Amino acid sequence: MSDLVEHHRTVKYRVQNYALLTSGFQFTPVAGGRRIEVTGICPACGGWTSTTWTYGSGNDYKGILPRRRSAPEPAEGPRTLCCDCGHAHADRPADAVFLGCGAYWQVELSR
Amino acid sequence: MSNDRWWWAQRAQQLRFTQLDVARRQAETWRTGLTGVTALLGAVLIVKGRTDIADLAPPYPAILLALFGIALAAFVIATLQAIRAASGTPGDECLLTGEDLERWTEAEVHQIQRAIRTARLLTIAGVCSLAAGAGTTWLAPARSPALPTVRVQSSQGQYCGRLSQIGSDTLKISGPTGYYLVPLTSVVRVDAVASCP
Repeated sequence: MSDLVEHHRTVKYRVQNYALLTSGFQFTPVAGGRRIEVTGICPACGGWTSTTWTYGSGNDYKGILPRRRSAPEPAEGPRTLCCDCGHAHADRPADAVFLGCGAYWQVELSR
Repeated sequence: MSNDRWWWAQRAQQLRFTQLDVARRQAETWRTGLTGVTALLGAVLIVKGRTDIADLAPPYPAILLALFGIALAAFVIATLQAIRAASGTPGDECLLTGEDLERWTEAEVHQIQRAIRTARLLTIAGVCSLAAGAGTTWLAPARSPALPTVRVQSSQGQYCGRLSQIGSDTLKISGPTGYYLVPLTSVVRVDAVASCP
């Protein structure tokens, strides 16, 4: 958990785009680089949000011969993050994948 | 503005939690497909036509072997291509984010179409090869029967060689240096032998 102080606002769930945020998010490789944990503050509700990106696992099943064994470095560029602050937000669908306020934005993934 | 990016991010996150189910379904697809590949061998042997291929004149047995081999290889590769098209999840090369999943999906759709096209062409080639082989088994000339080796004793002497022809008044013996025509009236004894001295 970061030292940043969370100032969460109670807003209604709404899917809205906050475009590209160039700062305020940390990328932490975990599990030997097999996962990347992205953490920061949601621009919509101010909640602390943490999302884990993993690599796919279909490596040994596709085709006849297994392909590469180690995870490559992901290409640099913007990636979409969705608010996953875990706070209750009114009107959030019961089957929502991310437990946040519905906001999404992009962050720049760099090596 | 379109919510495409939000949608792809949701899909990527869902995929993270369903990887085991997807992998199990893939394994089932491969199991079924590989069983089919094994069955192909039996199917090719059933369709191959006349059973006495070894009795055909050279070089037809070799041609048939090549045709059936090509057919079997084409069917096996076509089946594997079809299985490959029918299964697959993002592998190590794909970080499960919306953007990466979208790129992977585009590439995968392209590869699936290519695999289906390859499978289709190989199946047609396999069927043609199999049909050509089956037809050849019926139309190819049979191997001429092996000529027995005989030792002929006649009043003119003894001859040994393969019995090429029995004429109305002569025996035609094929020896190592040429043919002998032995008059039937002079023949005293004919013995079948394994080889000539």
